[in-house]
Amino acid sequence: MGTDPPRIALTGLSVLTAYGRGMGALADGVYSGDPAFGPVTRFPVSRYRVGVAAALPGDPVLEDELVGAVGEACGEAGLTDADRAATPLLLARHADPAVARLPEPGLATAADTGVAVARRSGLLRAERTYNPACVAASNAVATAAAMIVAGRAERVVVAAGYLVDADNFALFDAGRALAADGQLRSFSAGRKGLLLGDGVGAVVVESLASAERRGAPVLAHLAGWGRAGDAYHVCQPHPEGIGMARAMASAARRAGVPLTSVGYVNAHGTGTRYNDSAEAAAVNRAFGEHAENVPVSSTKSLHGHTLEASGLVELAVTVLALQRGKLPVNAGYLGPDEQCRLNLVTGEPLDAQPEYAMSLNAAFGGANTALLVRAA
Amino acid sequence: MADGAGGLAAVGGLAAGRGLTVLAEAAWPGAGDSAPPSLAGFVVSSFSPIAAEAADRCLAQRYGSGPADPAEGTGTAVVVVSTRGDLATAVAVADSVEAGRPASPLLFFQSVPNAVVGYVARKWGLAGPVVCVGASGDPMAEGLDEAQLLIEDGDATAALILLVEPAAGAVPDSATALLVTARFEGDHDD
Repeated sequence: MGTDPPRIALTGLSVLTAYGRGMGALADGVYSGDPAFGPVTRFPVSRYRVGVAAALPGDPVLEDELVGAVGEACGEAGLTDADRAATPLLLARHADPAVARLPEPGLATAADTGVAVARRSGLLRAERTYNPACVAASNAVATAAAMIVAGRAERVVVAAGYLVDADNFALFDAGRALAADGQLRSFSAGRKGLLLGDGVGAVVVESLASAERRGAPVLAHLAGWGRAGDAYHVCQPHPEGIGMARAMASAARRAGVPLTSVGYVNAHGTGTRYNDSAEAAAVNRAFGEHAENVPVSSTKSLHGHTLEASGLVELAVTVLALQRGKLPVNAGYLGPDEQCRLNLVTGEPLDAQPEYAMSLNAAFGGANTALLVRAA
Repeated sequence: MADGAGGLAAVGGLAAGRGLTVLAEAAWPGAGDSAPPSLAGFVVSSFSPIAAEAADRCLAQRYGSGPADPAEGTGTAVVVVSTRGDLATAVAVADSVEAGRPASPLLFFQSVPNAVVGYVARKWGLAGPVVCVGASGDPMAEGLDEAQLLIEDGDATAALILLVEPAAGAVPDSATALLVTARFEGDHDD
């Protein structure tokens, strides 16, 4: 790892959640403190234990929403057609449920959406597609930054999307992962599990030199990123949070700052028993005594678990928190769990002006990512 | 695919072009393989079992019965690359949804290719980043590109690349595992 901190800017950002389209809708939603969960009407759910998710009305088309998000992010970044034509795309998405219903599903590829989104958005090409896992989007953002540091690109667009669908709903219900009480209560006593949510987003990741040369707005800096594995289990995190703690330490080391500089953690916080206790252990392992002070919330408790889009939706929330000087709540909180000793933001959003904030994500197989963001 | 002496040489060339050295390589099926292997806890689809089998064969060349030397394993990333993904699991889930039947709980975790990485990583002590890629071009080239970037970026010192393709039409199941590191070991200090 190099000794000079990376100089990476985020110059365009767009997001869709159940709160609506755009950063304004996201801000209104998360700062209301009211979770976006409601009855699922997109497909039949009567046979499942749970019939709740955070979904937009109707049945949005993922590719169209991705193209819209990319267009909005590129517009905010002030990219010309020529700029776009020189900018590669990294995409994160789940396998397309429609492919499994094709007469010959083997003819489709997991990267087809990325190719189409890049073409429709006037981008250079779909450089890579990251798929199924809750670290897909955060991996893509880290890869974009790594590409820029390595000099392979001066700018990369990352797009990610998951829209609540019947197949994943069936899977999560079968795995008894959905919260039977209809609330996602991250890190709380009495938490019952997760709830799915719509999420689509796009971010323009750019070398600071390029952003300055173009006179582009700098929304925030991507100061560091870290990735590490647990080497522990097929679908459970390491109970001591070893991989996640290493990812956090790597992100801080790359940024050249101590973790004590971090003034907000947007946690993965799925609301499941295993994840939340392991993640709390990770924060305590990485932050040490500072864990008692650093404010933490999982905004999945508001916008739901957006699976492959989580890393991008929660990066957007993290940027929002730095821009607004207001930390969103960890909703649905019923009281402390001894296994989740964290300084949670509950009740009302917390006014604060941290210079650094961190977004965490984890996935099956022991995958962990940490994105460290610095205020502009 | 990278089976056969010609394939190995070609892979070595692709890796060298990216500043990587191939430490070990194996595939499923190999000589004498017929039915796909089984893997406890994984059903319906051969995707995860063949990925694990190729990984085991590859890593055994380097680490014997395992696990990896922690000095190497801690920084070894796992990169899963597939053009079509785990189609059989996806089709099984879609079929159950369309028929109004509950999905098998086992499909919950195996629907994510990361899950089999958890099996491989625990068995062999591989604790680097975990990344799953859907390939649009040459899966081997995309896997090597991803590994190169992870190693250059500093969170990994080596990478186990798993190229996994389920059967489609006349093309049979195949999995290739490749353990690569930076061309000059010890160059990276993270």
